[in-house]
Amino acid sequence: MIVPQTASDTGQDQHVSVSGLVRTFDASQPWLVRVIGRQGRRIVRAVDDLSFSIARGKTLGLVGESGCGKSTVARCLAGLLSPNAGSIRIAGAAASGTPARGEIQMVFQDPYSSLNPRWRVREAVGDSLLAFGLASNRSQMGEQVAKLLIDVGLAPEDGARYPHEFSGGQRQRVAIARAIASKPSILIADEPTSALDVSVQAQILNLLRDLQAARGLTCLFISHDLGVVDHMADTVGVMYLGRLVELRGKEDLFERPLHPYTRMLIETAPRLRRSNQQRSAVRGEVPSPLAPPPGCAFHPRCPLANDRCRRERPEPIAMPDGGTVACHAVEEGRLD
Amino acid sequence: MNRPAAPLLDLRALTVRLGRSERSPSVLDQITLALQAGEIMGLVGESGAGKSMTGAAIIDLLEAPLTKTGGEIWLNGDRIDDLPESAKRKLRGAKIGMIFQDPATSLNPVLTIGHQLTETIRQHTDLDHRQAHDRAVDLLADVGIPSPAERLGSYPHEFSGGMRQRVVIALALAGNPDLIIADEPTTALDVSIQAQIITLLKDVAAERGAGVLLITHDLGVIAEIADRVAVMYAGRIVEIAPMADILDAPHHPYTKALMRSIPLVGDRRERLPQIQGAMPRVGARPPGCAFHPRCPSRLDRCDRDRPDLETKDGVRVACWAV
Repeated sequence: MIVPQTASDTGQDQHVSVSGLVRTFDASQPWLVRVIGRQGRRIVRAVDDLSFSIARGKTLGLVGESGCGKSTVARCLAGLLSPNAGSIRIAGAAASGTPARGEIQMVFQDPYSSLNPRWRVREAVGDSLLAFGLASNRSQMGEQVAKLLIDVGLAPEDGARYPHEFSGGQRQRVAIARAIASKPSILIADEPTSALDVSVQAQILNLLRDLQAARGLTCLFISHDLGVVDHMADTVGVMYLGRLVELRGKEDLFERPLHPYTRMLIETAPRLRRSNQQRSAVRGEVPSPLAPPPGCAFHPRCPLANDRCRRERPEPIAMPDGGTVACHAVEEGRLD
Repeated sequence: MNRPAAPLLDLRALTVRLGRSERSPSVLDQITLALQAGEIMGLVGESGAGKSMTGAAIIDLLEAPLTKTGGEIWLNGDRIDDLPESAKRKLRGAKIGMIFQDPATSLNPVLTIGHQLTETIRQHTDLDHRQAHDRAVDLLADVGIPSPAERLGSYPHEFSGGMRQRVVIALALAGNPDLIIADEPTTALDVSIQAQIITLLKDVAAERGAGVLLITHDLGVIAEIADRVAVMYAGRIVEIAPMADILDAPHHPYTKALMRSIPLVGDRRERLPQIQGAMPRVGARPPGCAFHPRCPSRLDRCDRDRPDLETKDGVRVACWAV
């Protein structure tokens, strides 16, 4: 297995190292249906042989279309899903790879469903303090919750309110306060602003960056919005059907994208500029992860595909700029 | 461009309240805009600004307690908001086509799309079954569905999200409408599919000369295809301007702040300028200009007097500071 060296790999303190991560899901029909229909089991490889690392205090952005496996990576890293193969190493953690409790926290997309509607904000945030033994009694908890609420731009009095009394942006602030309560060193944000309006999105993105700087957080930031990822990340990984097709420093990736899929994503992303040139027609859609095409999964949509792409699966190859790209056309110099 | 005498769609001081009484809180407050045939107008704003409500009010799909308490809606020079319900039902589909955000809920899951298309076509035209079938095939081909004749027998779940949205667009076109109201048509779709649907909408509008009212929160989508943009805030239109003006030189402080707060690929800003606070909810809107508590260029009178849309350099803006 090739472990790609990322741009930030050289000499820096790697906080998170993921190698050969595989996670499959069983999407089979019930056994009786399989027996009658003479079908086999159907296994989806949601994440297929993924390797990356994140330097301490840096942010890795993951982009890709729905179903590409971004969120599965996040859930494996957070320990919400166990990988089928591969290793996740957190610097300073035990050899078993299990980090200290509370070391990794996650912020989810929908602040409406990630908070218990029957809990006051004080309880939602304080619960995590009590669970990780960071507060031994109620009055300690109250003080710390008040500090956390101020840190995320809310008022200490907001602790007495219920989630429904807040707007979406404020609710996401509560979810962030809850996530940072256990003093994690790694924060995973899975589409944290996708459910929010643009003016509120800017508030939350600024808050996340402030907290990262103040607390030295290492972040995995997932979004389908390229502009948001460009704003937040240091290194960007592009996923397609469970595989990392390109992993490079963000300037390199956005200014000189190499993989044809990355190029297509950047080209088709809506931008706030009037372009008179005709959009290059995007071909086709993402194939079903149940039946990924052989060879390079992107070949049916790729303008540069040849016979080798249809047969042989490209592995990540190291680029001179420190990134990796999994593409035969790049390797053979067939890019324009 | 040769402009017809009456605009395709003309909203005059459309007001919708949460209840019948004049004292009920207003959801839409004096919405005035005109859309020409062949024009794509973007209606943007944050959630709760009243964008979708405007679309629903035009086709009179408001549910109680929402009530239209004032204003007029004109289509092709005819007033349509005071028509009886049976006449309104005829308008929907025949004169006004609708495309909603979630293609899964716009289609009946237990009927083939051929059934749904031919039924809709026959509802709005006097074609017989055979002709309606042929027209359904043409429509599917128009919206870019491969092997349309075979796909007529498929059920909605057999299509991918992008293809399903194409079917919904075909349905909206079935009655050959003059006006298409598209409410967040690409929000549920992936970016590469989004681009295909945007291009399709643009082509459809150009080929048929239909006017499109494109409701979305995504300014990127609007920038791609809209000719003009109306920006909504707290139930009012604060600015109507050609797309280029909104992109390069927005007038209203809200539009300005909104455009600046969007992170773009390649901009190297450390911090995003943010608008403090959030949009006030229905019933809790401040007096004067609803944006004044968040506005950086607020004047003394802004918390007392409500600004109306005024024309300035071909742009309509509701702001005292402008």
